[in-house]
Amino acid sequence: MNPTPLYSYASDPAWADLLPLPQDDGQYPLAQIAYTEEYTEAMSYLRAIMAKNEHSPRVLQVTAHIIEMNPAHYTIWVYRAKTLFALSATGEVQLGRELEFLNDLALRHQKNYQIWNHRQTVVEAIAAAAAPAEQEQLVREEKEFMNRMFEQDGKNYHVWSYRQWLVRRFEAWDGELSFVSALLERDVRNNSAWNHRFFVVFGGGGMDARQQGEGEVVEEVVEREIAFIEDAVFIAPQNASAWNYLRGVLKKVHRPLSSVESMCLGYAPLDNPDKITSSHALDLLADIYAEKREEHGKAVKALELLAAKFDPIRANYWNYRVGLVKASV
Amino acid sequence: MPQRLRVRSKRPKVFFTHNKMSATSSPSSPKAPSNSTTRTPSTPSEVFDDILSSAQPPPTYSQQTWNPSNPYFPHYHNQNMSTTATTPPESLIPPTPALFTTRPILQDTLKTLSSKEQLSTAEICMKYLSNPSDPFPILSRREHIAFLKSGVLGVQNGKLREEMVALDASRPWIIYWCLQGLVSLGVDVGKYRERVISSLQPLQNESGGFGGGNGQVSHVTASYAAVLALAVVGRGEDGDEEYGEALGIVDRRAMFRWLHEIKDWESGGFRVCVGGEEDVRGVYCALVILALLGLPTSGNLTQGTKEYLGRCQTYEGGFGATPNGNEAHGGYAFCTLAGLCILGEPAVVLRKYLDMDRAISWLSARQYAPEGGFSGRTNKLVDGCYSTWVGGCWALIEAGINGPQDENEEKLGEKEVGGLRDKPRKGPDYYHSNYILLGLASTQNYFYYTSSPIPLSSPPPSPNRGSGDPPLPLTAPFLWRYSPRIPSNTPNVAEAIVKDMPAWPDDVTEEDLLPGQEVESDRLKVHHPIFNIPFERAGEIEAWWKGKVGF
Repeated sequence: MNPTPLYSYASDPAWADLLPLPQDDGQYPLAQIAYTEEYTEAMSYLRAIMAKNEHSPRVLQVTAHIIEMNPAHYTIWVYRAKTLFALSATGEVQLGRELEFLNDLALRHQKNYQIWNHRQTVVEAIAAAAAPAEQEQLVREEKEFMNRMFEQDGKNYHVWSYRQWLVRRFEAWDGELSFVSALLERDVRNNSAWNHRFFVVFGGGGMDARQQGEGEVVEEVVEREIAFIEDAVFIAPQNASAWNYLRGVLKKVHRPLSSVESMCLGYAPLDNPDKITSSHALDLLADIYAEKREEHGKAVKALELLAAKFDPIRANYWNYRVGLVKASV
Repeated sequence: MPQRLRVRSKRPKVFFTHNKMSATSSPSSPKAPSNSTTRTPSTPSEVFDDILSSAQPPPTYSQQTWNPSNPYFPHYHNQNMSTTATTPPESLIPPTPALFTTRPILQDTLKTLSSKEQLSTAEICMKYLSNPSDPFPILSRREHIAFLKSGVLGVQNGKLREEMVALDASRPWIIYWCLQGLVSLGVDVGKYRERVISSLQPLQNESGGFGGGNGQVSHVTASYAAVLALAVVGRGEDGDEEYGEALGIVDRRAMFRWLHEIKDWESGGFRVCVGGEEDVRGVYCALVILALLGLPTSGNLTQGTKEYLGRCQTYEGGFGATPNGNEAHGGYAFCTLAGLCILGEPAVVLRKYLDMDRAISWLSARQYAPEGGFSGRTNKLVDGCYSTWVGGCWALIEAGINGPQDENEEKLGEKEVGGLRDKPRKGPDYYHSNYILLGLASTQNYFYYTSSPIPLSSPPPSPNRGSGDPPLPLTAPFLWRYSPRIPSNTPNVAEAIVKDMPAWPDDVTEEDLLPGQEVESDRLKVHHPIFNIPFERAGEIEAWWKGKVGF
């Protein structure tokens, strides 16, 4: 059918010294895959080269070939990384070229763990040998490439994890806040961007005080973030991302929930349920009122509205919360 | 020996997973007469038919299922229920609850990419859920069995199609997904035991652990899937002296040594392989391997791990892949909660290391209406696999709130092809099939943590441990029990609607099924809430390693 003859390791003199090693699938194997001849051959030469523990330029050829057919083959990636570093140590390979190889793959395979772990290893190695100015250039290019990835999928978990590693590793916080603000401008419901905002604003620290980045958060920063949330909620009151972020900020800076009561009432006037536009505001109000015994009635009312009308799919949860309020008396 | 810390809540017990249709009294009514013309009602409309056509008091099950005060059934309030009619008038066929056929009451006007994708998914699901001819599809057991059998036995010449090369580094996973899915559907997978052993043996490395295929380096998720697959197929026939427990093929000593290699002593986490990424999948998989193989806890292999898991909780209340600021995600939530529950009693470890209130809030926010299914992250779409990753968290959360319970407290009251899928308009696959079935099975059972081991049908071999043996392994995950509950007929099941595709070869026979398993029923075989293997296997495996001396 296909007139173009496929490349064959068997007919390439550069591979003539190797005896291809077949795969041992055991007797009557289950879940056996009907490999193409191309894959079977490439794998058998790779096994042969791995058995010799050889780290030569032709390893890069066969690993790239297999990765093209199966980018989730983690063994190939680990062996390729070892080979790259061996060849780079002797000056036979420029690690920067590897990033170009990865760019092309990453754009075509969005859901892949190995590409990003490999990229992290390679960037770490490049940075180790780079001058500060070269490092800055590297980080800038990495961020540019990630922006291309985010154009395809603004919520790609692997890319976001990589970005957080990169930003923390190279202290590359500059520009991150305007970057997430721009993404949120495009889609205010992009929760990955909100999550990154939290990461950036609080210096990479999570909710745990023992992590780095804990310290006094300046008042202006808190005010800026609350103003940002207010704007976001105004254009989309039912956006869970913004409300979750609000709770996260308040808890992180130890502000009481009651400090946002009036904002919540704007979206969830308890005395006028027909005007309620946000179930998340109701949820927050319920927590605010649960803190004061004399306001428990209002907390229960908010929760009952959620269970019966505004978020009935979570009725079991809202009723559980009613139980907590009543039990706390 | 240290006294077991008992945490008992003063509050009434909490049961999130009991949906509102199930009742509080014990379903102990006499069984409906069983003959060729009657069978267990499986869909709401069938249940309803049964109520109407039965002159005898209907099974308690049916009464519980139709509670007119249930807000899930808003259309139902006005129905004139007659219990004497022999044929139900057409208008009394219960419609799908409005919650699942109408858009949410609160919707923002602002349109963004996220809201457009959400709306189109909701519309597709509503179309399926509003289908008047089949609002509650019955589980297509035969078709799903055929689909999952094709995963282990191949589709042509005993092999999987060449596109499956993408899973060439995940072959133990395919075997586990398909076998556990088959067990859930009531299939006796014991007949695959020898082939599972011969398939996985070449994947085990002398230096410890299993690779995703022959000649591949050891990987913790491949090792986890291999251990689960071996656990699922279990023990050989009487007189099979060679292996006994299929897990016997695992070189436990080498596995133990290899787990030390992938442990990150600084963070408390585990890498997925030497040179690979580190995240909470690595931790959960390593802990399951430790627990199921009964490996010792000496050597500080679990040092810092509870703290690592606790730090994965994010400002949203959910759990990220690592403690480094990743976004909260349903898959990592299950890994974190189940990981902690392997390391200790749920009510102790979950309360100590997590903000339970925020975790519960975030988990409950994963369920969407009208779709009925769970999403993995805030403002992302529902996906059937989160029936397990998110749905499976609820048993652990409940145990974390309720504390240990005594055993006697348990009495609480598309049809062409098989395979289950992410969501309508996606194709079925083995991964989603298994995790959707496990998720459905979670809604059919109540899981709880107790303080005594799972009783065995046969007494365990007498412990014959030497005095110099290392401390006993992780026992907490073996202290779970379950109680079967009435089938949950919520429209979550609708995610299991199968797509029109050319039929697979139908080679499923009644002989595939375990005795007593009916084809025409949605009832699935119960699994273990932490290991996701058949429930009774956990106790048997514990007895197996307890009977071993040292490694």
